[in-house]
Amino acid sequence: MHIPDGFLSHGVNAATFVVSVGACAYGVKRVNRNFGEREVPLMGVTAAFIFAAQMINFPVAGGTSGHFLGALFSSVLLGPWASLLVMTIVVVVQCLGFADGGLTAIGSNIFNMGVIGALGGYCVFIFLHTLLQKSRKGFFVALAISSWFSIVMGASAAAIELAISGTSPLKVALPAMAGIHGIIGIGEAIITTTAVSLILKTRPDLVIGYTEKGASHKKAV
Amino acid sequence: MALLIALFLSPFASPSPDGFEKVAETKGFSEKGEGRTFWKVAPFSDYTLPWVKNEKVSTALSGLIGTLAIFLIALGAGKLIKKIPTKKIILFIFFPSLIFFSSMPAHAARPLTTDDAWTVEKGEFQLEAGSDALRQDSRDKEYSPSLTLTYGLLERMDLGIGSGYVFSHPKEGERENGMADTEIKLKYRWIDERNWRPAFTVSGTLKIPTASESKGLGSGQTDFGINAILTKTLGKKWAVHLNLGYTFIGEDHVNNGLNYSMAVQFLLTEKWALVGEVVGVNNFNGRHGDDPFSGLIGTYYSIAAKIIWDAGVEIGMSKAAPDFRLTTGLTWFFEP
Repeated sequence: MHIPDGFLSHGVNAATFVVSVGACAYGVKRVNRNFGEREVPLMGVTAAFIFAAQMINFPVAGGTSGHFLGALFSSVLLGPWASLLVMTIVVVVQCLGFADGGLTAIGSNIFNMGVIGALGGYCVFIFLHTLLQKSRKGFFVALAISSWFSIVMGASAAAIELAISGTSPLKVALPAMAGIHGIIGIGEAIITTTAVSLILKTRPDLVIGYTEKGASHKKAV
Repeated sequence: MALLIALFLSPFASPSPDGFEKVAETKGFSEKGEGRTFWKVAPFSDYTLPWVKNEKVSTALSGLIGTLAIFLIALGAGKLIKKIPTKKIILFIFFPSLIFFSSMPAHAARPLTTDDAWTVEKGEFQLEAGSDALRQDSRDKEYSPSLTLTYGLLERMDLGIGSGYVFSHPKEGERENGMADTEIKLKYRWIDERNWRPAFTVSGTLKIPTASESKGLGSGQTDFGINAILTKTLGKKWAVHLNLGYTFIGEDHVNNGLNYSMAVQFLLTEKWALVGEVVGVNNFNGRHGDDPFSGLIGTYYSIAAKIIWDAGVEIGMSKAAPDFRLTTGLTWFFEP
């Protein structure tokens, strides 16, 4: 989902950059207020895991491949704001170190994967988790559906940016992007639920998005 | 765990294009990005190490390095964030504008292209001498010294006139040199900065075609531009300038341009400041490649009470912008 240079207009890049920087600044404030000594190393491990997992492209239909995004995974572990920062770090390193995603499109990439993927995905998760039964099963259903949404929403945001930039009309780009990422999203949902369930089995205290009662999300920052 | 994935699984990842690349290919806009990469010095381009021959080993190692690097960076960022006192961040994000100090020196002009809302004090002169070197399209070079004199007409109004000399060194064709175009600029500040309110200034610029058209140094036509300028100081050390302007271009077959820019100024010490900006022009001709867009970082230092030295590097981020431009200059304030 990493948009390279030259696909988006300067206006779109500038606008998403401003939004992303603003969101990250607020994220820094939230993380600063709520993080303890324990969460900081967890943030490092999560970022490393996401980066490593993003390298692995799994094949989906029609000669296409997709990779894990991890936005919702880190949101559930660290809270949405720290997750936004983690996604930002991953995107910046991928851009500067590995030429994956354009430098001018970096604002858009952070916006799609961080602001939409992590923050937007977490909003869907909270909504579903409070809606569904407040049990272990409800938690995982909410997790699976919202991680699917985080991919599709991020891809749709990318399609809208492409349309505004005049690269590809919305009626072409949106169904194509949302369609393919609808399939990739299934892979995302499987990986996210598997990874989270593994962590829940071994270190349930690490998953701050998980509460048996489901209601007390105030802690989950 | 993450390291194991990077080391053992990444080489066997599907080589098919990912979802985004696939859509770009099938919907016929994948070529848009070709040759438009601005960051060409990525050490591990496309997840390979240039010095390792075996493709799979190369991918695995680059993934390993990346994973370790990410871990350290995220750890460092987390620690850094923990260290910042919360109060400071809140102040910075929410109430920066509540604190207003007038200690910010009323100077932002050079080396920025972005204009500030401040005007030269009434009865005072400001003389700016600059020297520019730029390269365009990877080959054509241009050197241009310039001089601008501005006079504070009223408390909120100044009038400036500036021109320069151009040495043009195109790779093909003859070297030319001659006088540059002359610009006359009148600036009036409508609103002073107070509390949360930014300063608002409007300027009009008249370009007189003193540069030789036959030598290819200018268009030979008069242009007129109008520019709206907002300036906001944030605390003692920061100032932000926003410009939005429209230029009526006299030359035939050239579209009028909408120019926009944003600059940030940060005082390191009382005498020394860092500046940065992004500048762009939209020509309204529907061809993105024709629109210059660039970023600049620079610094200025007050070497004496009324003399400021500055330097800056501008990096072009679109084809129409220069590849890079180096600029340095002096600004001198004096009263007759």
